[in-house]
Amino acid sequence: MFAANFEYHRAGSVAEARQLLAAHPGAKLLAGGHSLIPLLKLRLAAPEAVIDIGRIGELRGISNGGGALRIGALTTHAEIASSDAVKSGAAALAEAAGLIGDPAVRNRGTIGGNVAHADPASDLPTVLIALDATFTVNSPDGERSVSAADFFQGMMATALGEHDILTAVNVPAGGGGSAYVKFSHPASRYAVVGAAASLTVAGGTCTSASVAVGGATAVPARCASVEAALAGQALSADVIAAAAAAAGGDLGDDLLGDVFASGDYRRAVTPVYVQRALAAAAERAG
Amino acid sequence: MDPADLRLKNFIPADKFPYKSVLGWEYDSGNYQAALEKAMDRIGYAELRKEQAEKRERGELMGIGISSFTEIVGAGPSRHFDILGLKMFDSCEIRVHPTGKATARFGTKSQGQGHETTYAQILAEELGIPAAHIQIEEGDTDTAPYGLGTYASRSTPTAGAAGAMAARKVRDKAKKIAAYLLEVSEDDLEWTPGAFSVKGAPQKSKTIQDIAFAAYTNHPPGMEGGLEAVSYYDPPNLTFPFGSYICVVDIDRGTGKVKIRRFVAVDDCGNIINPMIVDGQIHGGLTMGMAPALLEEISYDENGNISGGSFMDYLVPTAMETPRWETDKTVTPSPHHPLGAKGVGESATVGAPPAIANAVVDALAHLGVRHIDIPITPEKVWKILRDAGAGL
Repeated sequence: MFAANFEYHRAGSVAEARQLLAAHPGAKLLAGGHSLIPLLKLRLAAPEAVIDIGRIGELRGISNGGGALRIGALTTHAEIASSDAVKSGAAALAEAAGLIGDPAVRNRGTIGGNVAHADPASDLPTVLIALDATFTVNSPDGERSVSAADFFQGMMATALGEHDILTAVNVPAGGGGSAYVKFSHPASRYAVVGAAASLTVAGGTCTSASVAVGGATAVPARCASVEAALAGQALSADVIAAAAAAAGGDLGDDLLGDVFASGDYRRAVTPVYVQRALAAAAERAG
Repeated sequence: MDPADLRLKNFIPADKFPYKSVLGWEYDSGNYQAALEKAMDRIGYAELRKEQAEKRERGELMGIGISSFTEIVGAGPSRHFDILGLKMFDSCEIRVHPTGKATARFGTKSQGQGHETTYAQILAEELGIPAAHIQIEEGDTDTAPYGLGTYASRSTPTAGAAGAMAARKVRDKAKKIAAYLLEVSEDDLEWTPGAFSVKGAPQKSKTIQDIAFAAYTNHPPGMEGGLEAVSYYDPPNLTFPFGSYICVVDIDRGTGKVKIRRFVAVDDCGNIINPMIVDGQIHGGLTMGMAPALLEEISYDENGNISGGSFMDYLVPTAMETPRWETDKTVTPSPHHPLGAKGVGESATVGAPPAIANAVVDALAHLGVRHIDIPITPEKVWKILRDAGAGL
């Protein structure tokens, strides 16, 4: 299908994007286009105006400072997947970015566009929740920071208001280990179930664990019972398996399902992926 | 009993061909044992069975599936086959131009099977004209000779045969012209690809190009000029290609995902005209055969609405899901086809689904599994494992 007609505006700077947003109520921001364009073509969205921010240089790139990675909203999945800073500081994020779609998607799709779209089967939200990322938002009242837990509010719903522009994603570059493992849907490569785990280890025991699962629920679920079962434990295979076994219970009652994989099935395989993500993260945490 | 032994014991023995089946069809030729044994040898069957037994002890899921098949292709003999009364022969019309190049038209139509290559090779072989000098034309009903088209693996068995027969008619006329040009009797001529020469005096010869030119400039008195022929080929029988496929799968106990570790396909389509095209047909057919086994399904909800209405839900295999196909062959020529060839287009779509499904069932056989409806999705296998208490 073709998209409904819309006006196209290209912004050269964040300030210009802001002016265009103010001038065109209901307009959508276009970054890499790999979430918005399909929505337009399926006519699930029909904004009167699209504001292309895809060429704003200041929104692109990865910097490392103060124990955190600042990833510009227009940084592509391919850039994240191949970044040494991300690989060493937030391995799960590099891993997840490298598993999105195919090379064409990874070379066009951006982290900002991905998280602003908030598809429940998307990989990055799961990882960013597990890594306790924060989102820098440019809004008419100035800049504000939103935690991942607050950012993702529902299926394709975020804390971004109509006049907000997501400018960067900040990821703590921790000393621990993290990993992301997923069951790709054969057609879309979106996550049927995707599990992200981040662990820190000191003196042979787990000092902190954070685990999230996406694909199974409208918003990636934080697995509190898994995290609690790991804290203070030596991370043996048995401990990891026992902790992961509880993951299905952290998903709540409202599971997503389709013709390929029912909600029951997604819940059942969740511990398998959590266990695999934990095992990989534990190995990286040393 | 081992599934391979069961098949080897029950195959029609090679010395019983042509074999009249109880349904009345006469299988033209076959050597089913040789194909299965070759596949077993290629994949290392005995070793795999040993590995499977060890893995089963450890609770790992691995299966080996065999599919041996016979196809019935090349419809068909006009006494048995018609469409609304139209006899199912197929056709070829060849015109050799004064330049020695040729144009040939067929009653079939390639949809990507490479007829332009295969047919040109058949004519090149029969006439000694380089394949690059033969223009193949198909699919224009204003100009094509009457034929029943391309489907059911019938193009090589029917139109390919018509090509060979028409070429032989051209060659017969060429021989008369050569005899006239060389001033000898036809009986004194022998054919080496591309030329007729006088027996015992090979320096006295006329190439097919010489003859083609003479056909329009210096043809024998009493003979019509030109060098062309038509064949409407009515096959005396169908052709019966066959093969044996062996598939090895590993199953993830946690998710029920099936991974095809190896797949060996031994096909026998009689004499092969172009090995690369046959291989391409088999690769495509195996991938297409894997699709219903593991992926593709038209599913409906309780109200009868289609629930996989787009390619986001109807899972067509891509390179991501496709394993490395290992192809091999045996060659048992058809005794009645002029080139000894059989069809091959659909062999792999016939053989692949049962080989894959058998491998999955084999991996789960110790749990009492004897059948799984295709497509075998991860969720279906997971349910079986859950119900048998064999999951993770």
